[in-house]
Amino acid sequence: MRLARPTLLTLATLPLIGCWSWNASLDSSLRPPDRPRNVDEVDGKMPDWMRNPPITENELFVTRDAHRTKAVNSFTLNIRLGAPRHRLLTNRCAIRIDIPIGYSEQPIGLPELTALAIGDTPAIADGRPSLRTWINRRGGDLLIDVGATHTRFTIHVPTAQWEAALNEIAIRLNSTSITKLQFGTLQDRLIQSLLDRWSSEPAVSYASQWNRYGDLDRTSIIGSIQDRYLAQLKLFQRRYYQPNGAVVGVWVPEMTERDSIVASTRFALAAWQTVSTPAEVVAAPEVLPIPTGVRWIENEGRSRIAILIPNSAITLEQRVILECLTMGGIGGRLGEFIENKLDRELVFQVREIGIHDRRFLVLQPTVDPESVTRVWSATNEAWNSLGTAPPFGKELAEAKARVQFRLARRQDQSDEWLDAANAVAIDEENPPGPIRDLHSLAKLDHLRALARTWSETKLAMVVAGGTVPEGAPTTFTEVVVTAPVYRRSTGDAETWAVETNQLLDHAVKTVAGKGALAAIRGYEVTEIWTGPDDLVVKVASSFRSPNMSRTTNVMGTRISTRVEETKEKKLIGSETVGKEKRELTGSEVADLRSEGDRHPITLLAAWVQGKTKFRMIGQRSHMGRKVALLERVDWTKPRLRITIDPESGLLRTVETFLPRDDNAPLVVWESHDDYRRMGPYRVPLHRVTRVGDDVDGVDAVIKSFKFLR
Amino acid sequence: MRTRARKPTFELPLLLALVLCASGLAQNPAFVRAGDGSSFLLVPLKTRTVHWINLHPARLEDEPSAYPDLAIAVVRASLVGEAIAGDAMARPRKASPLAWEKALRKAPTSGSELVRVDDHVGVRVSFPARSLGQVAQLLKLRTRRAELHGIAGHYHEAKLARDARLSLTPDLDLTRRTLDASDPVRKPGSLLVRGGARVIDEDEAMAFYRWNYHPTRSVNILVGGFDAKFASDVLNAIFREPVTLPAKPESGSVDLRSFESAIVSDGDTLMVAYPLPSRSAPGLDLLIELLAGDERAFLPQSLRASGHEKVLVRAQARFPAGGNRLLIQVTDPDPNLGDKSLLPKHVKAALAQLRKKLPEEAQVRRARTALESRRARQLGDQQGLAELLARRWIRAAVPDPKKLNSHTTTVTGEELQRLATELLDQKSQTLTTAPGGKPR
Repeated sequence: MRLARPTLLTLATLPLIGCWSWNASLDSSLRPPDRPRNVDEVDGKMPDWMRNPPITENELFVTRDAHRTKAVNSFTLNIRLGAPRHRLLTNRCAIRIDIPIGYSEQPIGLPELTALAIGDTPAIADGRPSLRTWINRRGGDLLIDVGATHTRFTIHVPTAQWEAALNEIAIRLNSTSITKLQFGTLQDRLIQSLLDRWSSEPAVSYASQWNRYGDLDRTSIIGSIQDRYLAQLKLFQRRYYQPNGAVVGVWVPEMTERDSIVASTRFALAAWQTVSTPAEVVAAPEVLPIPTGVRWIENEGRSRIAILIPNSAITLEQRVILECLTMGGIGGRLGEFIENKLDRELVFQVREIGIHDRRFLVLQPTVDPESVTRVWSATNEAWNSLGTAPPFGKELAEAKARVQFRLARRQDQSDEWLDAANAVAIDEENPPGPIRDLHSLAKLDHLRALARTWSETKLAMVVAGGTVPEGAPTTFTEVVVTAPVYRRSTGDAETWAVETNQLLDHAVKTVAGKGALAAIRGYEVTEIWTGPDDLVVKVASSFRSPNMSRTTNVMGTRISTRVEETKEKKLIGSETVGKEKRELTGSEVADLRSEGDRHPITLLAAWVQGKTKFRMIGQRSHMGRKVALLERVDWTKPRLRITIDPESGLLRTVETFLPRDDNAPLVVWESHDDYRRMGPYRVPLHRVTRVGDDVDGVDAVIKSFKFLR
Repeated sequence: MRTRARKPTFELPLLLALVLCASGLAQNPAFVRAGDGSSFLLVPLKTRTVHWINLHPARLEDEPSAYPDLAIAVVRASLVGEAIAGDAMARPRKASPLAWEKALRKAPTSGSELVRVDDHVGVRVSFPARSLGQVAQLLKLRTRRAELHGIAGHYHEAKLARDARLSLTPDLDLTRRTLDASDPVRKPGSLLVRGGARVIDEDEAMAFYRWNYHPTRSVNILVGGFDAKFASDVLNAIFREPVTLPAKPESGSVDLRSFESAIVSDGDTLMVAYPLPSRSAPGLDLLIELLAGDERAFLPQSLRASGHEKVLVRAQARFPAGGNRLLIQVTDPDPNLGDKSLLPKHVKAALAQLRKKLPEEAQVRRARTALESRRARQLGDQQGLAELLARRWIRAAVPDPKKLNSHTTTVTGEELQRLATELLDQKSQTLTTAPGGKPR
């Protein structure tokens, strides 16, 4: 059956006839005679706007002013009015908030946990869902990235919801209510996500780990995340999640009122206020150097390679140079040099790790282990050649065409546009901005100097799989990566309970036995304390829960301290020096009580008597020995963790917090040793106590010890 | 020689007709059928770049049974080789295997990216509008290869990837037995068995390629900043020479289009299968969302109310190896499941209840919102739009792009109820228990 030229009528009605069969390849009538057959002829008729799309009013319409809602609440605002959308597309707004705090120089895991707490924690008290759920329910999504210097929140929501979404995140940034249980779940999620990444992407995940944590091993990374505590998170949020210095980007399609967008943004963010915070209490680690050289994780099979090319300050020139180098993962100078060395072509998967600072382009091929050294040498040669023979002519023109395409695509992609626009506000050294990039590419003329300078940067490479060949260059370092043992700490209680109880049983038998501990109600102790300034203090204390008393002799002065429970079940305390007597504050009373409650024998006795429970957290290293880490299960009290040597059964360390009314609680860490038998008990006769940032601590030698029944 | 193409092909003109009816302006969507039989849906938008999805059939039932995932190997091989059209009858000279991909990137484009839309597979490319002609030439070239460069290696990789995927698929054995129980004659579960021939027969791969990559089987969606008239001219100029339709290769595989349905239970997991009335039954997505969209959906909620506190439910109707069926998987970590478990009984009761009466309006509304949110997310950019249009085209159910985002709201409660009644018919259920268990 032969058809006439298709018209709207025939096309619409023919299918309805239901007896139609058609082979277009044989039907010459389907080729309209008035249409040109020659491709070049057709190409010459391309409309000008297709060849060189003009810059629209909307694209120019970007503000980069600092907006101040109050004297203390300032942020930089980038606004982009998205191109008018086609009716087939949904209108979606993108919001990007870059907060100037990242993982660099911060305790491991704390910035990530804080960002997760803001995004994924529902407020139990008032029944508010988590920010992510709130956004999802409105048809949007939330992305969170923690970079070296910035933490980034990206929200996509239907345009009608953008002001509400901005307001919602402003409220969450200001303060987040999170319980200890939720905090434990976040720790677990963060660790699980790390473990998943480490096992699924060995090369690139190690590259990321190397960049973030340097030479720290994975067990320590997980241990550090587990060591974070809730108060630390709350203080971190209060201190760093401030509007000052933050950059807010908003991409709003189909809105034309600039002033109205600025006003709406300011109004929506009004809830996000600067607050004063106490001074830093956490010791910050040093800044890590940028990775260079080769790290090889030996394993079976072929080698998966991750080549790291630093591109933190991604200027227009750098974009062109990177295109010359990689051409998006196939070809380019890298492809040519590698082909020359290996006598075959390689395909690279290309991705980025990091945001803003400490960002890398990662190129990943898979090769035989014997070829790795040649790949590394070809990569360095290709990289250096950019400096010795900067691109020109056809190579440069092709690279610029590809960059031009990427810049054009960025104009239609909210996330990439916000990356570029916010980078401008964050660092004035960075490129001049999305639209000016698009304009200035044609005039690019500094390529030679920059290529020379940039190519002097040292590269890094991670190899996962295969073994280091003999005669490998000295830049090759073999690294041993062990999979950390981790089990969910907040759940799976039944499985853990068996191990925990076995360990505690062992500890109880070591120090006394269940019968002896069941009878203990307190103890009396005489100690000699030596502080960092060599001041010697003699202390005699008596703890019988809930009361305690203490006599302290320091430099010829005698101080008597008492804590008692009143008939109203309230604890009060007093301190007497000579004839002077003063009432103790609430936190002083709590500190004194805490001393008695955290003694190793008291803790074990409380477990034997059923007054407290513990759960296993994992393993730690203490004085070169592996010890088991256990945590007290009681959400109403400050977190308390103990370590027990599984071989000797001795309780080695105790870590807890001393609450403070208007500040982050102080960490107390005690190490116990020199266990000796005193009657039916084995008691530690030496203790070191560190409070807060105190590095040296107080050394206590126990002179006498007596249990109270 | 005249050869008839597959029939029916009427979905494409219908798609065009409805798209055109919905528009009326020059820059509205247009449908182009080029001289060689290739079809293109052109959707101009006000963007700076163009996104092209170029798909060909990759149905499991069309693959030779000895070579599972041959379609994936073939699509990869089609991207490798020369970048300049030569004499199709002559073997090309040895050239860079990456020449085609390099030429595509230099066009410039984003490079080719493998994409799978339902049972079609192909590539997607983004590029500036001025590169349209070059990209069209290159995409045409990938369907006219004189040889499939490196097909043996691509087949080996596809086979390994498939084996790895299957070995990681949870409850694979259960799914396989569900499929076999649903159709004891054809045993479609065999499609989920690992393995396949170790070495590819290159002639057989070529026959598969020639048949499935014939221009009349292509699905092309172009979305982005181009002039529809100009694009139409370019495509007509490039895709103009007719291509002889080759003889259909013998697949020797199983026809999955008709089968019985089944219920199978396995240890702590139970699977229910229902035949679908058609691939594109209106409201099917909504019914699945209502049934098992999340933990607050109808089925998990009903089962929790029956005492299965930790129950997990999944449902899917786009099972690639199964074709037209709805699969519902229910897992209850309760160790007592087995002969003594009431789970199969409770599942059957819940489904029977849904068949009779939809849950309360609030729950249906919740499912609608979730579905529409997901769709809105996909329709946020031109790439998502192109994929959705391709899916609509392949399914040819709701060809009006204007209604893509709103069609769930157009499914009335009565229609949904009718679908549930038709789909969840107990007569089409079969129950098979885990080895040692007893049918309920």
